[in-house]
Amino acid sequence: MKFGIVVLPGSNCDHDCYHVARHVFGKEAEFLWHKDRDLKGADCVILPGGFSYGDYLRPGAIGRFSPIIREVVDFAKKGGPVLGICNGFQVLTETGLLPGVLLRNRSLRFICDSVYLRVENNKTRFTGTYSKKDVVKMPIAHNDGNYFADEDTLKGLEDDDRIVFRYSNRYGEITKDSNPNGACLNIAGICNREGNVLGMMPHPERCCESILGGEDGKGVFLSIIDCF
Amino acid sequence: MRKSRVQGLVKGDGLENLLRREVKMKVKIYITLKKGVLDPQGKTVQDALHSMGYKGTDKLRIGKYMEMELNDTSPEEAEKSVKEMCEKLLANPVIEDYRFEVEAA
Repeated sequence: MKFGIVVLPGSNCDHDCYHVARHVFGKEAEFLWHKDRDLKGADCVILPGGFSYGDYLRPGAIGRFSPIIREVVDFAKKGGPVLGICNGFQVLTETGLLPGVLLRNRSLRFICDSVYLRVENNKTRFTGTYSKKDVVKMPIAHNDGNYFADEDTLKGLEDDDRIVFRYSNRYGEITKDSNPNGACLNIAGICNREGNVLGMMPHPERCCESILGGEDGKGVFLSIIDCF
Repeated sequence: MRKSRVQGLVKGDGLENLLRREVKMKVKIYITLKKGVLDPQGKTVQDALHSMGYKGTDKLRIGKYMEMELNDTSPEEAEKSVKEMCEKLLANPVIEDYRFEVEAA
């Protein structure tokens, strides 16, 4: 299988994703430049973290109009798996593929930390190798990760089991103290109704090798690879 | 725009009318947070005002102000395209409202 990794001006986790796909999992991977209109045969598209267009106007707002994103949206609408990490999640909400928006962190500070997450839904293409209620540790690094949506949308996400990861403590308890950025319902990641588009603020690609402090992110990539 | 000038002539509009229809417009756009959307920046600024002694300040919200010029357009066309710009890019309808003013520059 082949991963396509989108490179927007200001993406800075693109090489990490490429490294993990290629060197940790031995899969094909190719960068997809933002001006391209071709997904180059990718089976799964990753929108990596970073600060596309300097986060000008709103994070993800301008990147969303890159030519390649149009192709990604078409691919997603046809059922292709799309993983948006951090800035990629912000881009996905701006395209409307995922509901809600990522607001400025409640603390108004950039947060660079490792946090615990609870796997809420292991029936998606990105979480199949985890068990429900698994507690995993992943790095976060963002200024705008405070997930917000109106009450009806939040209720819809809960009812449809579309909340995939929530910030928790090490025991898997969803508490206020374990919420790093003020996100509604401690949301760290959500998927679309069909389950083929996942957006998440934590960085699974940064925790796929023990030498880098943990391997809890491997499950996300293994789950995708298992689908092919 | 050349096309509309020709059309205008064909329709028999006077020179005065043409000048009025195609001018430089100045646009002022105000983007504000919707009611109920948390505004941590606004809250921090309000707290600062409180600590400075401005105890009466309340409900401070931070928004965005943009201004631009639109060339060779009529007021009607300008209104239409600015509305489009706001809906497509300038505001995020999930959290923001917008309003704008269009006037001859």
